This record gives sequence, C-alpha cells and structure tokens, in this order.
Amino acid sequence: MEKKASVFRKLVLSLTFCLSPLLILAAPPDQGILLYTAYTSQSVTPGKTVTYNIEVINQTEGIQNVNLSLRGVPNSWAPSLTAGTNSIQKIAVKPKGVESENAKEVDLKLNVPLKISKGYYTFELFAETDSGMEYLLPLSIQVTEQGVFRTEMQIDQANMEGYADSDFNYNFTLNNQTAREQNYALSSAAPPGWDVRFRVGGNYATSVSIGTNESENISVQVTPPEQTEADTSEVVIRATSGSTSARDTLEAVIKGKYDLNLTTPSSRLSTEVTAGGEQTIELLLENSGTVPLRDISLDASTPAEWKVNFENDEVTRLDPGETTTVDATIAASSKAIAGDYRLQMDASTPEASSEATFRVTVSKSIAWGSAGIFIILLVSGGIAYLFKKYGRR
Amino acid sequence: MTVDSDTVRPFWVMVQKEISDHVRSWRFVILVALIVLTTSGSIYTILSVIQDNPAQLSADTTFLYLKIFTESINNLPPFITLIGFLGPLVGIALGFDAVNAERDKGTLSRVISQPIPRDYFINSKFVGALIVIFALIFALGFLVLGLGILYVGLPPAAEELLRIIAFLVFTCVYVAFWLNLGITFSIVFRQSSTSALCTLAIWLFFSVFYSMLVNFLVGATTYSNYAARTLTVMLSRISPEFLFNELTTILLTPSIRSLGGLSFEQVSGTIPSTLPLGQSMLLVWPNITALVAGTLICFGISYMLFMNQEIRA
Repeated sequence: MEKKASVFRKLVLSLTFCLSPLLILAAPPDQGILLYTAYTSQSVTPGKTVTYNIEVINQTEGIQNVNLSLRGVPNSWAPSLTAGTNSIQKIAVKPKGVESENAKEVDLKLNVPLKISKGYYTFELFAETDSGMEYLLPLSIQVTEQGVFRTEMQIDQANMEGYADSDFNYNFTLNNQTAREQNYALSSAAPPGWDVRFRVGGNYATSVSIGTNESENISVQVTPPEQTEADTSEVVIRATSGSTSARDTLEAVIKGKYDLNLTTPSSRLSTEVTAGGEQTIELLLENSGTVPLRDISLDASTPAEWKVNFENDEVTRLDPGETTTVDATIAASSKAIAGDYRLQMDASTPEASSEATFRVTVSKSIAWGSAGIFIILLVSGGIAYLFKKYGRR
Repeated sequence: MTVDSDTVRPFWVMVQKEISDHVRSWRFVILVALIVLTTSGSIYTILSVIQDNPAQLSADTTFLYLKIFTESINNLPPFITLIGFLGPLVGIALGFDAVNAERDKGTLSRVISQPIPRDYFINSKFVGALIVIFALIFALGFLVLGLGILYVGLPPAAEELLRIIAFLVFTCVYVAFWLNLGITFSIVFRQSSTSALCTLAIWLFFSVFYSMLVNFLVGATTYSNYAARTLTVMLSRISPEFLFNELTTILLTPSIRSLGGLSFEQVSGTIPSTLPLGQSMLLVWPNITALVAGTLICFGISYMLFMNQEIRA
C-alpha cells in the first residue's frame, strides 16, 4: 500500500513540476502577490528541521494583507511560520514604490519526524490577500533515508548449552536508534527458579542509559536451578524505555550431568577392626547428577591381604537425587599391625565415579594377652604351692 | 590371707628392719647418687631444649612428656637407657648378700630361732628390697615428671601419665628380677663375694656381651637379610635386658606400631598414627609376661632353695 502511495505521490510531484510553470504563467508577473523562495526542493534526513526563507512580494499599487496557510503538511511535522522571533499568520506588504520595499520575509520551519519513509513529500504554501488575490507556492522535501525510531537488540549467540550447575553467559548489544537519550529498564522472563542478571560494564545493573545512535554491550548471566532436568529452556529479555522497547529470546540447553557420590550415612569415614576380624560398614551411594545412573559397580582397593565384600557389588539403577545404601564387610588381614590403615572404596559407572577413603584403625586381638595372663597365673600358682608346702614351719 | 594381726606384725617388723638397713647402707647411697647424677644430666639437656626450641626434638611434638624419657640429645643416653642399665645394678646390690651375709655374721640362725615361720625371713628380704626399689624408681620418675611440668608449663595428658606409670611399674618389675636373681645366688653361694660376682657376671653378660654373641652367631649362620633380622630378634629376646628395652621403648613411644621386622604386606596401606595405651601394652604383652614370670620364677627358686637349706651349720 505504502509503495503504491509513494508511486502516486511521485506522479503528483512530477505533474506539479510540469504544471508549475503554467501556474506561474497563470498569474501575471507584474500584478497580484508572489511567493518566492530560492530552494523549493530540499533533501533532509529524518529528524532534521527544514527552514524555507520565503519572500512575499507585493506587485500591486496598494498594501496587501496576505493570509498564509500550508496545505498537505501533516501536523506531526509541526509547521511554523515565523518572522523574526514571532509566529505569524498574516503579513502585510507595502506596495511597489520609490521609498519602500514591496517584499517581506517569512520563515517556514518544518520538523521532519524520525519515523518517516524514504521518498518525496510535496506540499503547498498558499497565499491569499483580503482582496481575493491568491498565489500557490509548491514545495517539496526529499527524505533521503528511511526514518527510524526504535531500539535494536542484537544477541551474539542466543543459544547456549551447559550443565545444570553452570552459568550461561550471553552478550547482546543494545542500540538506541532514536533521536533522544533513552533510559532502558532491563527485565527478563524466565522459568521459575532461574536467576537472570544483567551486567553492564562489569557491574550488575537493572537499567542502562544510552545516548542517541549509541550502543552498549550488555551481558546476561543466566543461572538455572541446581536440579534442572536436561531440557531446552527459553529466557525472554527485555529493554524498555518510556517510548521504545526491544525484546529477544535466549535459549539455554541444559545438558544432563552424571555425578555420583560415595560416602556413609553419617559421613564418617573411619572404622575399627581387629586384626583378622571383620567389620561391616554401611555405604551411601548418592546420584548427585541430573541423569539416572545405571550399573554402578563397587570396588575397593585395600592393603595387602585385606578383603572387602559388598552385600551387592552392583546397583542397577539410581535416579537423580536418590540414595541407596550398600553394606560392605571389611576383613582385615590377620597379620595386620595395630594402628591405622588406609582403605579406599570406589563406586563407578561408565559415566561417573566416586571414591571414599577410609581410615581403619586396627587393634590386635587380646587372645595372646590372655595367654600371657595364663602363664603368669601358672607361675603364681607354683609359688602359692611352694608357700603352702614350705610355709608355717 | 587368713593370718591374725598378731602373727603379721613380726613380719612387718622384719620388713621395716630390712628397709632401714638398705637405706642406711653406703652401697645404696652410692648407687642412688650414681643414678641421680647420670639421669639429671640427660634430663636437664632435654628440658632446656624443650624450653628453648622444641622443634629440635623432632617434627612431631605430641607426647612431649614421653620425649623427656626417651629422647637423646648430644649423645647423652636417654633416661630409659640409663635406668635400663643402672636399674639391674640396684637390684643386684640389694640382693646379692641377702642371705649369705646374715649367715656369715651368724644372725640368720638367731632370727630363725625366733618363734616365727621360717619363710618370713626370705619373704621379708624380698618385700623390703622391693619397697625400696618401688620408692626409688617412682621418686625418680615423678621427679622427672615434676621437672617437666615446671619447664613445659602444661600438665601431662592422661595417656602420657598412664604410660609413664606403666613404664615405672615395669621398671620396678625388671629391677625386682635382678633382685631375686641376687637373692637366689646369695642362697646358693656361702661367700657373698662369689654370689656378687656371679650375678654381676650374668648382668654384664646380658648387657654387654650377649648382643655381640648374637651378632656373631647370626653372621655365621644366615645369609638372607630378613632371616638374619628375625634370628637376631629371636635370640636377643632370651636376654631380660633386651626384653626390658623393647618394653620401655614401646610403652614410651606410641608411634611404634610393631616389634621387630615387618613384611611388605603388613606395611602397605598404613597411615602414620599413634597407638592407644592398650594396644601398646598388647604389643609388648609377651615381654611383660616374660619379665613378670621370670621375676616370680626367680623368687620361687630362691624360696624353695632357702626353705630346703640346712641353717644350723
């Protein structure tokens, strides 16, 4: 539609050009009033002010009170006629004479708006005297650029992939293409639990001020909740000022994370065992990732001649966030010396593994100690016998 | 004991007489002076080091009180070595002429002719000397401990105190062993010089020559290193001196976890740690058994010999 309109306008314009000499011819040059300006067609960029210096010429013998009006100018262009510093509607021009000037100057100002299409715009300045004399001055403006009034948001990389426990850092450029400095409020819409923060020049910010035709690099830090399942999530970011706004969508692709944690229910990683004896400890397996783990196998690396038996040395499936317990029986070597030993338990799947190192305090059995007591008792018995046999003589 | 107080009293009178005889004898005074002089040098060096620069002792400054007894600085032997060496001398000095001197002076038959059981004589000799030994050893030990508190400024931990007390008790047992050996020889030999020489010879043999003999024997018979070590330890354990040294070292060094050699399998996976007192005691329990049993057996022999001996010769 707009294209058609502009074609039509061009047609009208060319017609006007063709006809304008006729119009001028139609009004005899030496009578009536004339409007004159040097530059009847000007080229401007959107947002600029165009000023026409117009001369009103009186070619009659008497004073003419001229009424000036504009035709075909949209109100948004804010047309104004001024002479000196005053805004005027009518102007009186002296007649042609020896001592007087028969011309008066008037300024026509037009503000070309920012939001305008590229092309020719024509209008007319119409002069009419009280006595009914008329003159039509056709004027045209060529808007050389497509006029804009908007804010541009440009994201470097809108799609990112990462684990649930990592941050997603996006960068975008906010470009103010309006004629004024804009104060943008930065806001976001994210799924519940997600944290979105904006960063301008290294600092966290909620608003940013950008001058005309300037741009600012803004980074967005998106933190998903810890236990987010593997999925693609969208975060909408918005920059809003009073008159303009921009929005775009960021994509965060959460990758499933494999994580396994091996510990004990009390988190205590020490135990006691007698040399040659056994001790059962409860192990706790926790899937701290976001993806179910399958076929978790348990293993232990022990001091020489020690053994660790697991109640079941393979856990078939463990869902994210779930825990399970496994009993492990530590059998210490009978030759183990008293004191502390290091014993390591491993839980592993093809994707993740975890280890727990235990401090096992070995104590010696008191079997030999009792043998020693028996020997001493035997000797004491022998002495008691001697006392009984020889004493009291 | 189901003995009335009337019959007990003469026994304790005899014990008191024994104690006063020992304490007043020059022999005892000289020995005590010898022990005090040698140990005070060693203790003083360690205490001044602890006060000035405890890091010089060793990287690990736990069980500081035990270090006072075990650490050797400037080639001065530590307290435990000195006690292990001089302790037997005290025992021998108190026991070597217990019976034969009385026999020589003719006092034995006079005592025996009193209306008291005959074993009172030998028992009072043993108990009297034992009390003196206990008093001496504990006095020495606690003096060192007291000096330690004075210098260190911290009270010893319960574990340290218990270990020190255990060490003192077993030192008394060890000295009592030599005392009984002395008493036995004093019954066997009529001449006190013979019995003195005999016990001294045994003491000298075990504390000086026995280790040389063991080394010679092991060197002559075995070639492999591990076998040599095992054999050395095995043969050495016949010596009461060696048993006592092992016992005191383990008792006062909680970080030692084993006696003698260790196989690679035993060492793999170990974490340096200290043992609780119970486990240390269990480690040297054979030594404790051997020392206590040896002391009791020596006493039994001397008792039997004395009771079977003809006195009115």
